[in-house]
Amino acid sequence: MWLRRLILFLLMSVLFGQSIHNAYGLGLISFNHNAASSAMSSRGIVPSFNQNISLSNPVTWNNLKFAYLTANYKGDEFSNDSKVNGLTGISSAQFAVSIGENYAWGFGLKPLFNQQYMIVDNQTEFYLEGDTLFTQRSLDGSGGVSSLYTAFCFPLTNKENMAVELDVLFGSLRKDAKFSIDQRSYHQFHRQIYSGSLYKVFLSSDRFNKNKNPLNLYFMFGGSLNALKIKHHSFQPFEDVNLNGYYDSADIPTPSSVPTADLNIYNNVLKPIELGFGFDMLMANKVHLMFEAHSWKDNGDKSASLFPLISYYVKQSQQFSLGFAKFSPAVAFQFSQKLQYRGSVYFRKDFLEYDNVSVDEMGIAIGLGIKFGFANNQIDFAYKYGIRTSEIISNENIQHFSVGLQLGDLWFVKRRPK
Amino acid sequence: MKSSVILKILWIGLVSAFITGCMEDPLHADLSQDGLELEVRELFDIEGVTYQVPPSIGSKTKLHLGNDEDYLYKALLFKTSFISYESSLWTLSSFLDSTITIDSAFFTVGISKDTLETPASFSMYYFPLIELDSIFSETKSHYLNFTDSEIDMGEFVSNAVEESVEVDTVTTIYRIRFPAENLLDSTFADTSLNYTLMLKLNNPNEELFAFYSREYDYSNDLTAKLEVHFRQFIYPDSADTSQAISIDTLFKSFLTTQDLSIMVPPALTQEDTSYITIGRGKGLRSLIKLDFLDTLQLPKQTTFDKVQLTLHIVPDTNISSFSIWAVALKDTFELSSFESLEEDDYSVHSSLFSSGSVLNGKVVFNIKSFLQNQYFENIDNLGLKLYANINNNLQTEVHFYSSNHDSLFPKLFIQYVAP
Repeated sequence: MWLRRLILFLLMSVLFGQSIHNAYGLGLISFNHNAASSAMSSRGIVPSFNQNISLSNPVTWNNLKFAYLTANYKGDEFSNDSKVNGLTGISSAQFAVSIGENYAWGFGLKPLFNQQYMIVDNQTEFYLEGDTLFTQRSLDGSGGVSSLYTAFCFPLTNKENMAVELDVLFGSLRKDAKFSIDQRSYHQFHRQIYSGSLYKVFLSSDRFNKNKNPLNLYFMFGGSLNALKIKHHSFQPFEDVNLNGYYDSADIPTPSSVPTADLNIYNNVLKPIELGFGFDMLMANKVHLMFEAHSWKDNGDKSASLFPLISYYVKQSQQFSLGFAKFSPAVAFQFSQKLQYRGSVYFRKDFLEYDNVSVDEMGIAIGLGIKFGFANNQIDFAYKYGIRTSEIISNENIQHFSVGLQLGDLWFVKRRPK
Repeated sequence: MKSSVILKILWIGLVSAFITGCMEDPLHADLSQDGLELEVRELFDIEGVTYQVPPSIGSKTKLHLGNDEDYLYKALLFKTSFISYESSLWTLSSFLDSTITIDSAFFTVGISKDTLETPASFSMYYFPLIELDSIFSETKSHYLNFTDSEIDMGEFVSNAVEESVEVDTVTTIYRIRFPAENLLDSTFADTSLNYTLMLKLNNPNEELFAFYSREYDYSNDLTAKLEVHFRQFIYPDSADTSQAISIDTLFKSFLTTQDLSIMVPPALTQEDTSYITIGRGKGLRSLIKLDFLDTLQLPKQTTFDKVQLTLHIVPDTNISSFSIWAVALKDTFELSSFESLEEDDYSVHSSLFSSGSVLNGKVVFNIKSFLQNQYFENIDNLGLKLYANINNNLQTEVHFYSSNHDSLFPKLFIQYVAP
């Protein structure tokens, strides 16, 4: 019962922080969804949760000793010269279980794009004969695209494994475009319903896991099965006479007199292609050196009528990261042995829709994991600090804090009768 | 036990995290390409035509008799209630009972005036020969369908002159009390069904007299009424009618339920028919055509912020205050020039109305709801009907320039927002 309640709650609780990118196009994309990956500045390809295990890379799930229910919580703060914005919320929920030593299966929920924003424009003057009207626009949006995914891991050879992930995209956006004329306030509500599907293929090889410094290699690529489709409902603008923010009978025109909402369907809005590579090398003193490179590009059609705010949309993102991790042994008795340490640096380059302008981000991340309980439950903490710079937008400082809780249990094991 | 404690802590943490998640400051960005735009248009090709209907003055708070400039008020009509105001058990026919003796009866009408110098004389009539339940209608009767022939069918009841009554040391009221004992015979109280009384001035050339209408004061203090003072006898032995017991003098009144002045307006002038004209006493109304709305190119999902129809007044009209209704038409009209009609056949959408008052030489109507509903195609664009508010002076007409004037033609200003 508690498991069902927890999953339901996690499904409902997906929030992010507000950067200027949140409002543009489909919003701000999120690449890492758990605290362990955040501490390694990883997009989930290289192992970060435990030795040879990444919670975001299903090709590593066959190494899980227990079935894990994981939940991650994150807090972001975006600050520039004039503003500080922050928002917190649940960033992912997942269940993964290994089946024997070679197979694994899991499913979960993770947000892909966040469109939580509040934007205001400057006040402008509108001149009429002998009269001046003061007008101002503002825009509130709430929603985003999330992914309900499932993945299956299986062996290709005795050295190589493969995993296939299927992401069903869903979500919605509720947008309120406000327009004030002197003391009068007009609203136009929009609603966007998202649907689509993606696939990802993961590969791993431990073919070079035999020298003094064992090396594991990881690859991934992904694309779209059904490119994201948007049903866009556009409602009749109205004057909010009683200024309560809702469309009720006191407003003009009255709700009963207006026609039904306009519906437009946009296809092929999101068609991402992504490619990733990483390696994990065991150094001396059980310290792992990890490198990861990842590139993501959206080839979808972004109609100007659907996305008036498109110029700062991140249409391409590349990242390189280098990290070190010291994992605890599989069986640990002392508290010091139950601690896992992580640290990393990263460089990220985002290309915006606007004339291919790029935004550079670089930063560091550190993290700590603590195992507890018989089933190697684990709690992870991560802190990341980054600086985002560009020629066309204000520099942003990014602080990211996340915490992940992994609860283990034994599944698919025949228990001894009492 | 241990795991349940951990789960409870986890639940509390998650709920707290969910509740505390919030944004702080709005971002600033150029939103000129997103959201709503403000636009204005000014449109001119507005045509209007005037028509005349018999004036509808039944709902006025005052009734009149006499002459006022060129307006002749020929008669006052009242319809009394059949049921007593004091008790629904008492009706006009109750007085036909042989046990009742009427001591006095009066029909009283309050006069609206400040002093009484030379009391005028009035006569009262009823209509025993017309066997209809109603011989006039407050909303439909007028000088064209209640003519001298109907007036002449009235049977004389009594004469009366104006009188003043000092209510207290401060207040004096003025009234006419017509003796009405002979009304309460079988012809009015029983046989007649119309209960209609008519007042006329004995000297038709007298000045204008104003009376309180039933609409003036709904407390009924000033409402015209038939008042009856009477005694009722009871016979202890029903077989012996020579020994009756008299009950104290009783009183019952019968309020008027409808009242109307029959007014004959003066002849129309050249200005009345050539301009867009509104006048209550002459029954002048106008129809406005806005045909260009059907082909007006507006963006999708337009919401009107301001829609003002402006009509400019002809300078020779000396108006201090005048209020006009503009209401969306339900019926098409084919009038090309002035016409007189026996009744107003142009029905309207009563919820889509606007009121405008003459101010600074023009009247401005806010017809936003009309245009918005026409834009939504909830109603057809059949134009507007303009007519005078019931509180306007009956003798006042307002003339407006039509589309053929070179600068003061009617204008429609629209200000709207659209995506």
